[in-house]
Amino acid sequence: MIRAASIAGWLGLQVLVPFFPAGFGNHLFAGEIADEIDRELGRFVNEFCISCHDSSTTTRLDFTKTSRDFSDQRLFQRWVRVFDRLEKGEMPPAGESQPDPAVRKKFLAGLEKRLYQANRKRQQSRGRVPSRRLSRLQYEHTLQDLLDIGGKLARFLPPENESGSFDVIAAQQEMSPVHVRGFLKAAETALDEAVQLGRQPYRGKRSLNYFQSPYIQMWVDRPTRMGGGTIFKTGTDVVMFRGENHVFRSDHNGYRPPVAGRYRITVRAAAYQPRSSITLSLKRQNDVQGDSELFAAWDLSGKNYREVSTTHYLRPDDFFYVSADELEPAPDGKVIYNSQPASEFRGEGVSIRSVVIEGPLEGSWPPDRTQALFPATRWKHAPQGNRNTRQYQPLFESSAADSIRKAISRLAWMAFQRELSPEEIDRFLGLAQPDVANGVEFVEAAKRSLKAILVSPELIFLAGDPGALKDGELARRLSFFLWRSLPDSELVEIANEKKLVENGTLLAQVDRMIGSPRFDRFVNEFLDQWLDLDQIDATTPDYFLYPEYDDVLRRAMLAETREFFKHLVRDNLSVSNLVDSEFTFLNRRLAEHYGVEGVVGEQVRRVNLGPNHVRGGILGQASIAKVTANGTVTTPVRRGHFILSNLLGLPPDPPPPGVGSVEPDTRGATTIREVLGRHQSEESCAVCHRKIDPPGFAMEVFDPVGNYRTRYRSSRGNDRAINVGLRLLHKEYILGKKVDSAGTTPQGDDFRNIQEYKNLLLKSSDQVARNVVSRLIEFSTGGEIEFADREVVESILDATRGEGFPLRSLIHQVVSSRLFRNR
Amino acid sequence: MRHSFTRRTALKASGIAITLPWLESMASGFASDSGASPQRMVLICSTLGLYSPALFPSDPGRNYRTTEYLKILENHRKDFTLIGGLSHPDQSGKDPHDSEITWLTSARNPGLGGFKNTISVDQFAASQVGNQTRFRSLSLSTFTQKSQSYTTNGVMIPADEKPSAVFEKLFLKGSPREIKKNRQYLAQGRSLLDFVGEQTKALKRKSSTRDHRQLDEFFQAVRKAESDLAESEAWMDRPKPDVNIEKPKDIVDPSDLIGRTQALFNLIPLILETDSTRIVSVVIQGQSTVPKIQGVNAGHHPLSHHGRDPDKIKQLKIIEGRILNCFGSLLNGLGNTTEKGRRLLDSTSVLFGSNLGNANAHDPRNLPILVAGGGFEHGKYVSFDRLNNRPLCNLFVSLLNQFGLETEQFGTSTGPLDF
Repeated sequence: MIRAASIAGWLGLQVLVPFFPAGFGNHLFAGEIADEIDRELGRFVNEFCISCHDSSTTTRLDFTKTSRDFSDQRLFQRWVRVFDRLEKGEMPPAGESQPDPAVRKKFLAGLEKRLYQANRKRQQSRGRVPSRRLSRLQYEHTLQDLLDIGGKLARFLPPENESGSFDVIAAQQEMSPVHVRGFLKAAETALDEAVQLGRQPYRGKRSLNYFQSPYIQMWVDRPTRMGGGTIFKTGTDVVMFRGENHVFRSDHNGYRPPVAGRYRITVRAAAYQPRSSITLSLKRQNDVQGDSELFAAWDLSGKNYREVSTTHYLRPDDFFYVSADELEPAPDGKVIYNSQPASEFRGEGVSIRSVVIEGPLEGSWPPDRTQALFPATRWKHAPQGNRNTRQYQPLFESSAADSIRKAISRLAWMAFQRELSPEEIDRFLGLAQPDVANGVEFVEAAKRSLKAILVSPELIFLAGDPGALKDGELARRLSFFLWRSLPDSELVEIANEKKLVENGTLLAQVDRMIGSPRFDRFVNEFLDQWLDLDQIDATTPDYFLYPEYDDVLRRAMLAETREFFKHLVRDNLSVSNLVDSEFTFLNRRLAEHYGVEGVVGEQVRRVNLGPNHVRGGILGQASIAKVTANGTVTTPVRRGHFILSNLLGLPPDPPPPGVGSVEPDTRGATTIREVLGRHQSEESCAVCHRKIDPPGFAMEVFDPVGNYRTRYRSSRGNDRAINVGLRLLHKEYILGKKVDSAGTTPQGDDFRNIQEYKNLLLKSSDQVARNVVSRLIEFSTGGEIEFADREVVESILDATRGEGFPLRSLIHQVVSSRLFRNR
Repeated sequence: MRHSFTRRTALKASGIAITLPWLESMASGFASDSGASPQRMVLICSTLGLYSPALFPSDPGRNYRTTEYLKILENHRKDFTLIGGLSHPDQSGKDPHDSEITWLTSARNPGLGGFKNTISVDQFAASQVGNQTRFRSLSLSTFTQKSQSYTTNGVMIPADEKPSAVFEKLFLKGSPREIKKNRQYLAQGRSLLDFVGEQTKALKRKSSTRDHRQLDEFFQAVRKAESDLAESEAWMDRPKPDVNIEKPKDIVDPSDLIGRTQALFNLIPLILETDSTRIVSVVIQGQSTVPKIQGVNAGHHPLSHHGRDPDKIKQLKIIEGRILNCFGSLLNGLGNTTEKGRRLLDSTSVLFGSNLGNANAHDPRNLPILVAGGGFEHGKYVSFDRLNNRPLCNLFVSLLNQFGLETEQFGTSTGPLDF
């Protein structure tokens, strides 16, 4: 629902390209001569600009050194800036002589045509986007899909350039020997996980028997002064009162995953002495790789046992453990250590009855993926050595070399979506051949050829010729956009039949892909980068000030934003929902965090909020509050900057050098708004900060973990003893000064709170849509928005404005546009 | 320990007759063989700053009154200089901790639109020294592979975080079978890279587009990776140095910040003494977990945002004191090791500092900087203008000069630092 489809005038944010005469681009150069335009440009500059911007200028622009050679990229960019500043009315500055509106308009039209022409010419001859590599995440998904494996592989590649844009932007991508080694290592690891020829593991159900584990018994028996005594056993269960990764780790209690693969873990447990809802969780940890992960979290309440299960990818060096969160201490305030024996303790706990592991979930052994990798090969069981050595020998349809050829041919078809010529196969085979001749084991020899496919530039690069994308290229661009990986067989088939270039077919495929589970990769990674959700762990909320924050809440926060956005796309809802919506996505935990009643269970689902709700739109979501705050405090500057840059796509200029930052003070004597007073009182600050700060003021009602607050939490005057264990005993903040979330927009519209601010922001839905379309174009094509692309963005907005810019339609429009369909 | 290393062995090792530029540096290397100790450089960054009221004395000079933090290093007073008023210009970036990635590079506005990092000072030095040592440089980290070392085109070089892996890489000799296997692995790697290089050329020929920047870079990167492998192969013919210590055990617990820091610092004298490399960078990562230290019950990162809360500052000072203590023990280690009658410390310039001057406000100016050893004249506190900082790169230039490179300019430097 669009309340006002007008331009974002009230924010003082002039739209970048409001001015495109009808029919622009169609009869562009009719009757015009570039020379004539150039002479007019020159006259205008001489009359209105040169007096400040000549060779004696103190600014960065000197027109005597700025020729109109638009084929020079640096000069071209400079002229684009000239166009934008004039067009926004920022130049000539107030107080200087101003051109007549008609003169200005004519100048802008002439410059626009020249810039457009130069830009299009470059795009047509060179392609808009240069050849580029897969990002590290895209490479991980690609390997996973090609080889049917899980596991983290991106970590072998260096992090992407922190350029402030998407990981796929060609101009920002880097390549180095570190990458080459990374690709090799990732491909090697992936192949090793794909080829499982060790002893056939038991694949049925196995119990992780906490109750009878000697290791658990040791912790039961151990006195508190030695770190034990925090758990106890009933007749059937083990009871815990806090998350204890050390005690409940699977490897020390008799279970290690025999091979890398998918496992189903089923837990049966009940809340113990519950006074409120509590969370049972399952976590994975890997001390070798140094990472950990929350597998799943379930709500427990009342006395009933609950049986829950989850399926996840485990490697042999992983361990998992059953854990618990949201446990309240005893009503008398005692902690487990001074309330012995543990069975006497009256705090909340979790009573674990059983844990059952099933897997690896393979239909056969060797696993299907291993067998699929070697099509002309069967495997004969040939037991030898210990369990880790190879237990299967290959049986060839004809010969080892032939088996390798067939393996090369199949994997290459999947990776490149084309048949290799016999000569090409020979070349890949050449890498394995010396080994085959030297009697090196078949699998090791074959891996050499297969690895070469996985690190081939044909797989790693999205390269091609300028002009319209051919079917295969279009299929790749589409699937790396919506699935962040290679096209599947259906898409490849349609492309091979040369039908994908038909727009109807293309859009039908878009809809199919949006409906697939693989679309989650787009949702997660687009939002991670667009809304900085990948920064959720950049700071950890202060343990004392925000004791309610934990892994389970963090997960629900991310799920809300992701499910919300996915819903907007799948149900084709208006982009204005990003600003304000009458619904959001919650589970019990997050609903409690928000004070929304009536949501039961750990499942994240759509919840109606009604109109004018604090939590409507993404600005009300805790994930956004979290990524725009640091661990202890919020600053309106950072949040205002987020709204301008990330939501509206109008980043303010960076602060002048030498400007200090605000030193956080949680002692409660002053509020951040009092500290920021200078921003408004000093004109040199106010120029920018009257735009930046007000949106941040509205967001002040959200603390660093997304609580709605009316007063600041303060740490003043607390004498903290060192507490052990129970989370909520750390709640040692006091409530300080009142939060003031009122403000005035640069246009003079007052708002008293976040709801009123969002109502004002809804007027900028056009600009939000413009930003979303621009970001989608960048994310899908790997090229930033150029001057000549602006008309495409505008035409997409024109085509969808009537329905209020619904998100799926925006994606359809982007995919149908010349920017997507051309190199 | 040293073997004469002839061109013939190198050629034999690489398996084919090639003449790469590095062979020349190999033949003419080993400054230490000719008498003088080689110069070394150790660059250490503690990414969450040092609480400056506890660090900086009130007055500069030789007779500065010691402070809470400097007291920890009092034994080494003659061996270090504290420098105030240094920073890189234009460090406001996208994320307030982005100055971490530019601490050794000085690239401006990290993370803002169009940002590209530049070469780090350790990698610049490494690119100049050639392969006189088994490794041109080492990048170590207390946690994760995030280093502060960047290549010429701004790509991060992953850090070693496990002392055991560093030890293996440098000192573990391996059985003949393992060596053979390793050699095979390197040879296969080279033939694969050669193949990938050919494919890249073919792909470039096939497409008519003129913009090949990335494919060209890929091709060069493949070739470079190939020659790196050849270099590793050549080094396999030289036995690794004998050291009389056990392989260190890795500390698994991520919250043992001090243990992890100390474990890396323990290796540094050994690395330098055996001339395994002459350039080491270490990053002490800011962690949000509660470090295992008596008297500390909140995370290091949250405490750095103390909000001027006296209790948090107290705890923060405990952590930072322990880190400085580790630094002191490193100075001990370097001071107690002698080489040709000189202390190892005297041929090793050690930089210890942070990318944040005030972590509470994420202020990247007025950085805490300590320089130790390296033959500089020490024992003083030098303070530059706190409002108008000197470029930290000026110090980098001085360090590079001391290291033996006639560099006049690095990053945003305006000259060497006079201190």
